[in-house]
Amino acid sequence: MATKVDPQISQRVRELGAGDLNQCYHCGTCTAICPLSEGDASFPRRVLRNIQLGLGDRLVASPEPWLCYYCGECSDSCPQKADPGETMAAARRYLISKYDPSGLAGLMYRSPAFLVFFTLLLGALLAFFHLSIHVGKHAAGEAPFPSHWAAFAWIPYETIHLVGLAVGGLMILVVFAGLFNAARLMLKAHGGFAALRRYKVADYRRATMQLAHEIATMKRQGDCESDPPSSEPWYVQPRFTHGTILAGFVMLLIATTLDFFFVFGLKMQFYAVARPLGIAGGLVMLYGLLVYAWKRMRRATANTKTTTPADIWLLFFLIVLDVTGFALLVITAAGWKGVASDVILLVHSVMAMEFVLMFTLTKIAHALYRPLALFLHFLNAPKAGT
Amino acid sequence: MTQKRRIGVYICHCGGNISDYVNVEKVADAVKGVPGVEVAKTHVFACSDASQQEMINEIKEQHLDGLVVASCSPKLHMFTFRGMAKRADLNPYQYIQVNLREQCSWAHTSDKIGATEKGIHLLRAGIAKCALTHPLNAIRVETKPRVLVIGAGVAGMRAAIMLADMGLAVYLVERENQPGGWARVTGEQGPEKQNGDQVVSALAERIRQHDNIMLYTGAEVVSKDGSIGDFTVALRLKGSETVSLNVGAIIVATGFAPYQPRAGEYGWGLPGVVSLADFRQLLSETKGRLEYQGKPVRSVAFIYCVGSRQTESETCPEPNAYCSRYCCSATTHTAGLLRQLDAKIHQYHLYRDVRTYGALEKLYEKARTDGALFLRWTPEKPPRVETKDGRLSVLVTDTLTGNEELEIGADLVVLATGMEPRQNEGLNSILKIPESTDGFYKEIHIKLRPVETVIDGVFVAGAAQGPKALAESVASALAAVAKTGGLLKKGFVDLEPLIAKVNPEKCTWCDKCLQACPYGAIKRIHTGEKEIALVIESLCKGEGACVPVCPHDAIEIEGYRDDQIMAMIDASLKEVATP
Repeated sequence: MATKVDPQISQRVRELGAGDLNQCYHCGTCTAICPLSEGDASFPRRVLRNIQLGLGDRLVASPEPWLCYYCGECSDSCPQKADPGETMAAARRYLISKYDPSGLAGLMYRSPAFLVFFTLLLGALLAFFHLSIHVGKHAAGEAPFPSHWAAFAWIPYETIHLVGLAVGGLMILVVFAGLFNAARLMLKAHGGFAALRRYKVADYRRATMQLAHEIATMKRQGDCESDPPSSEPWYVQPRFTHGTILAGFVMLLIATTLDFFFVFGLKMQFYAVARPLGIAGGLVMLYGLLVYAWKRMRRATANTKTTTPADIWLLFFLIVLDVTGFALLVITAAGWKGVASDVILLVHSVMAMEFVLMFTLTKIAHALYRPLALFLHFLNAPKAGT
Repeated sequence: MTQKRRIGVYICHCGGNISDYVNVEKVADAVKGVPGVEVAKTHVFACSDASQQEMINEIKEQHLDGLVVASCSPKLHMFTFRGMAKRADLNPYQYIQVNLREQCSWAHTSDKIGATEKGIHLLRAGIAKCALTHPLNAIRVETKPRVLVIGAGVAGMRAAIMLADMGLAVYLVERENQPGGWARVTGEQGPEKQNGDQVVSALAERIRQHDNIMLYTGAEVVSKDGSIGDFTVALRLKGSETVSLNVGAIIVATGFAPYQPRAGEYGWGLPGVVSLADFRQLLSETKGRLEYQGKPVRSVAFIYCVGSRQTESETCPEPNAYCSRYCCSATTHTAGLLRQLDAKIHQYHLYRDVRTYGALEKLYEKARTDGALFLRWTPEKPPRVETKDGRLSVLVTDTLTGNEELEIGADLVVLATGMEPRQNEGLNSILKIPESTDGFYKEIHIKLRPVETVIDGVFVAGAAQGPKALAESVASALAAVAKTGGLLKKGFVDLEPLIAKVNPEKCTWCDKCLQACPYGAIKRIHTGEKEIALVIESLCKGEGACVPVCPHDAIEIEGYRDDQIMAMIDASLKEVATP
């Protein structure tokens, strides 16, 4: 069966921010220079070709974009300035939008106007519900918001709670459907899910260990940056800064979980572990975020020279969340009350929820798809990266 | 030979090319005693100015009447030493070159003793031949200051104008009813964006105004007689009237024929499968939206190398092995025209190798960077064109996509057809220019003598000689002009006297030599009571096909006479004392 050439697909990926694909004449320099391209997982040229011709079936089934960490070496070496690195990033956005069953990811990536509109709409809704919960009819003791917000208190708490559960459940469903789609598509070339039966338990154990090692050390990202050696100091290289954001994220997640467990669950005012952990997580993450923002403004490297609206949005969200988080800490410690502190709390809470709802569908989805692709890659190629 | 000869023998070291393997001093010693040899010496470089001057002095002082230089191949230095002989007042045809390098030292680098022995044999043969030479003079032919140009395409027209500007009279003959050839109908030419018919009109206007050019349209060459400098050509004009022309030279610029695909070749015959020429015609006629047979065109697939670079197969028993040169550039240029008309039309270019050489590379680059997609196929898996759901479908195995078969939906499939030699049986039998393996008129040497044919005075220009783009056609036409001008403006031409000679006493006219001669250089004449063969000196190449077929040994080639050859054999068979 011949693969169909579809110019519409090519157009769609180009809209997601691909480099100038018309410039590519397939010399293969990008693939030759890529420190991560190996064996069957050959990229970026092959991915570029699939996009150029609009070979949709091949493109959605390719795990290669997830094996790329965008060191930018290919873009720097491209004799035609076709920017293969940026095209790989566009391919990832395309894949995310194809895996996502809701269709929201594609819309958010393609249209900055929709992104802003959706953020505002969702924010308004969440703020509304949020206020409704915390004013008056709060079941669990003292309401954090004073009575001058009482105008919002007309929806029964139970209703909001149910809606919240439903949205959360739907969200989990969507995420798992996306993951399932990704796995199904990536396995297509190997014969579908049936291919998983070919591997032995030992293979799974090995691949799991390789993946755990990879997540803990980000070795491939390190390989990516050290060949050739980066001219930047280690503390601003992506491997380190990405690491600080990831670490901060994990620390904050643990802190929040501890808070939830002790304060809401056991009704104990126990902050001795969660508070320092949260502060440290917030600081570590803030460092990474500021380095990212600074580098994107400088545009000195191939991987920072192009900043899409989705990139700005993510950084904006994380930085605002981080800063308002610290502001709330100060406010609580000082015991300040007032509209300003209420607004800060509202913004922080609403954006945190929006963050979970929106970015799990888009940028943060890489945290699921990349490990999945790596796991399948390790399963398939035992000697990968050695 | 009653009179004793005085022959000078010079053996060249050629640096060490010869002397490293052949003991040249021993060779010189060995021939010193040969009857007729007056001088036998060696030179480090016989071709150097100093050595030549030394030899000239010796020839003059010693009153030598024969010269043998044993050095490299005559292909390299025969004319050098002929010129040297001339300067020494020695008849250049009494000089013999012995090839001691290519045929001896280089061939026997591992056997120095054997090489030296062979050198002595070769040199003795050369001396024997030289002893039997006699003075010869070049055959001088007066040339007529008029030229026949066959074919009034751009090459022929351009040649005619330049020749006329030189002051030569030009007869320009065109079989069609108007001049211009293919350029008239190809539309815009890349990359200078001039329209073909405008180029043609401008040239035609200059021809009309030129006093020195006579243009015959609707006319054909029906016969050719005579030889270099003095041809008589008959033309048949419209209405079967004939004209006889007397010219000094002929330029053949009959152009090419477009390749006609076989039925089914890349879908040829299916609605929507067209040739590049047809597509360009469609483009030039389209204003606004591109449509084909009433249907809008959204996607066009171009297939390159149709009728070019073919390999032999069951369906293609006589493949065109050559590249047609113009198609890649013309097709990428067409991509630009199509984009200009409608940038939204998807373009797929199915190529084998893009050969947009030189500055034409820009056309390819523009097509590519403007968004045309290039897919590369190999002759093992050529593209297939089918009809599917009322639309054309092209299946191509793309080497740039891991040799995977891809399916392209297309509204039009354009075949970039190549050039073929024209089927001009009539003209071929008149001109007798040999054809290359590809069927085009063959030049003497593709690099060094690109517009001359083996028929002296007959030149070839443009695509008649092989596929050419317009610029190359004009360049070759101007090269033919230069050769023709050089020949005719001098007023005469000197030809080699080393040609066939008929012994009228032995000849009984059996016509075997006439049959054998590829140049038509044999003529039947009456002398007294008998008919014999006569060699037309200006046509004979001294090639020798007539000699072995003569039942009476009545023909000999000057320079290779029977007595010379026999003497050479005798001399070379003489035993050599082991060096």
